[in-house]
Amino acid sequence: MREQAFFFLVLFAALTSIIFLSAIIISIFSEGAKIFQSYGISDFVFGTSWHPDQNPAEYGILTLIAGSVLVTLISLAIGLPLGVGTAVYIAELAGPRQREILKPAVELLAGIPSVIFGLFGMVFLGPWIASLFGLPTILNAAVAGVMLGIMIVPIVTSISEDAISSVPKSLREASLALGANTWETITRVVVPSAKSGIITAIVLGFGRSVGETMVVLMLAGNSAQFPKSLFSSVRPMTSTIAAEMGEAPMGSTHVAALFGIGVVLFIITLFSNAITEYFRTRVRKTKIKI
Amino acid sequence: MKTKQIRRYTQAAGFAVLRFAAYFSIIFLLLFIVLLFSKGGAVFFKYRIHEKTVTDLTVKNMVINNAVVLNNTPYSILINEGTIIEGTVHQGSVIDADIEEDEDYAENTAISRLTIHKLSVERARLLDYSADFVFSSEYKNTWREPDTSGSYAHIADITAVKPELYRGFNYRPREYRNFVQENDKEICITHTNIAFEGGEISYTTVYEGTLIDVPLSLCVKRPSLYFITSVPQEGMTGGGIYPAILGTGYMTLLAILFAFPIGVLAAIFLNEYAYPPLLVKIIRIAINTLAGVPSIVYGLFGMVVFVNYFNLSISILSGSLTLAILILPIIINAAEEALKVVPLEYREAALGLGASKRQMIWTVVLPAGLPNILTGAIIAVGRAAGETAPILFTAAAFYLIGNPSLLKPCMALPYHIYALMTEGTADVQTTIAYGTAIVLLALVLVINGTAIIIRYRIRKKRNL
Repeated sequence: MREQAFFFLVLFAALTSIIFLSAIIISIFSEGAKIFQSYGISDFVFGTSWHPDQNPAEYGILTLIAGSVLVTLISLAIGLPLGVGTAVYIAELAGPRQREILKPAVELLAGIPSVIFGLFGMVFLGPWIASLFGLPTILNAAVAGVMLGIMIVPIVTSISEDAISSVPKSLREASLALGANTWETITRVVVPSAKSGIITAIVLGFGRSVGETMVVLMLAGNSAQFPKSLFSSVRPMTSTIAAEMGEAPMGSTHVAALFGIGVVLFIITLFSNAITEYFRTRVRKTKIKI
Repeated sequence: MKTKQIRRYTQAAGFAVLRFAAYFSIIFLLLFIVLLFSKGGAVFFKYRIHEKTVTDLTVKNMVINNAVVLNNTPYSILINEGTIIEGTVHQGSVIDADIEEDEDYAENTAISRLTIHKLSVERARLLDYSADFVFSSEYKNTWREPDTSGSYAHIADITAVKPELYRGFNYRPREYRNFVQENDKEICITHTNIAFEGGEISYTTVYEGTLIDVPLSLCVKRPSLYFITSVPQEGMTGGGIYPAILGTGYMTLLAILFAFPIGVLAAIFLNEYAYPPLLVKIIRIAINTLAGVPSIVYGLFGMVVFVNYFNLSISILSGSLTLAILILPIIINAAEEALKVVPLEYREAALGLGASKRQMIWTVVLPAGLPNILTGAIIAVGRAAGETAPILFTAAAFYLIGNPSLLKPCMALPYHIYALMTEGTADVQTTIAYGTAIVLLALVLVINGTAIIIRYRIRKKRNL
């Protein structure tokens, strides 16, 4: 009897994750559905002008999506080489001593709150980039992207490191025996073998960057327009929600539109998660095969 | 031969790049800490008035307005920016002076701008005048209304003979209002006689250009915890961040209280029971999806469900429930990993001794996995403490002091930084934002550092 009760207790605890996920989906989608109904899904997603305060208000989020994509691409351009490089170094080159320093450092970096990255970008990186390129404003897509890129380094590192260390030793030994040096072994054998893990890292890093709020809210410059260059001021989806939710009157179309953005974000991250899962299971399977 | 060299160089260059990437995290962490402390470290010091009597203090290039100088001795006087004339000062007026100056100043009965070069006054006494106004090239326009008596003094460029004594102090006034900050430097504007960088002189005698037995009130910088123990003051331009620390503490604590039991029990289900398989698969997908949901979406969810639907209003409770759901996947994953590494022999031994499955989990598996579970929980605490987006619409308030209550909004450290940086206007607020960031960073680094150290110890013990 008690055994049964305990089983149901832990079962219920595990089921809460399904309950919470459903609650998130229902709450976001039911609020967001209003804008899809009244404004039309394609007008909402592919509309190019976001003007909630105009009359009639326009809720096209394509510029916001473009902002998110630009910032995310910049962040991947920064975060991937750094993260994968770190992972390769830790897994292949570092001695135990170095590993003991590097791994905690990466973990500590992972723990730094995003708002501090935002602050750092606002006061140090932003002005620095602006003076380097002679920009009129310190807040733009590049600053946000670079800070985000540094922010996703830990996640990229940990996933690529898992993938790299699961590459069997025999492959390395075979490569070395054929006369390749360590560098060639890394670039032509180890990294290609860990490809699916690294793709997982890319996708997960993408999901993180798209969903991150505070850094882009503080750094991206916040103007809803199509980016013309890396240094354009953009307004990604997350920062639109964060910046406008406080001002929008409760129950208005504007709020529904913001929830609609939430729905789009949710779907994007859902996809990136699904892809991640797919590649992860592939890594697991190949590991077992060899 | 040549390709061999090229290969070797490529390898060396590649290794250098990888090493840079690997050490970048450390470089960046240090950069964070150093830059934040250099900009915001000032909030951890308080300025106290330190009374002291000194001799051998030389002044030069004093500008005195409406000063009363006894003992009519002639000396060179500079009136109005550059016109040097001979004259005598008596009772605050220039006597026998051949005054050549702007018409603007001539109308003043008392001396309006009197510069004394090479102050060679014999037994002259500077009587109570107010240094309402301190300037040097950097501190122009630090203006305060003149006293009702109409007397005020300009005092500038006073250098002390013992610079180590009087320089290098940033100064604070006795009252905040007398305090002006410009270009990152702070100056004192006080009611006393002579103010200079680092302190003030209350009343003194000048002898041959030397101030004798000067009672000094120095502003001394001392480390202080006032920033984390006091409430914001002066419209968020002064005081500390105590309510924000309290708010973050309460919310984080509540979040972990909600999430920890559920997370550990869920992990027990996933690792010890894992039945029925299809349900387990669905639950895993749900957990992984939850882990990937953007934090701002959690904020929207908290707003709809807790704030509006359950009518908890924007409050600590709503915020901590939202944060609890945010950290739940982290706790479940960490707890499951922890349970996974508990050796199977433990379970077999417990079952072999006749324990039921529940007893086995409760008395053997959980205690064995507890250190690792706690490590995960600690990391989750760090995450909850630093999140801003989920509490934006569910809990955060820019300014709210007083006792925290479950159903009231609260201040929080991460939101405080954001609000100061985006809504703040005064320069001082940036300094406070840095200070808040230092507190938050220290908090998070200590929390995560603890987790790392615990894990390291566990690993070491296991290897032995």
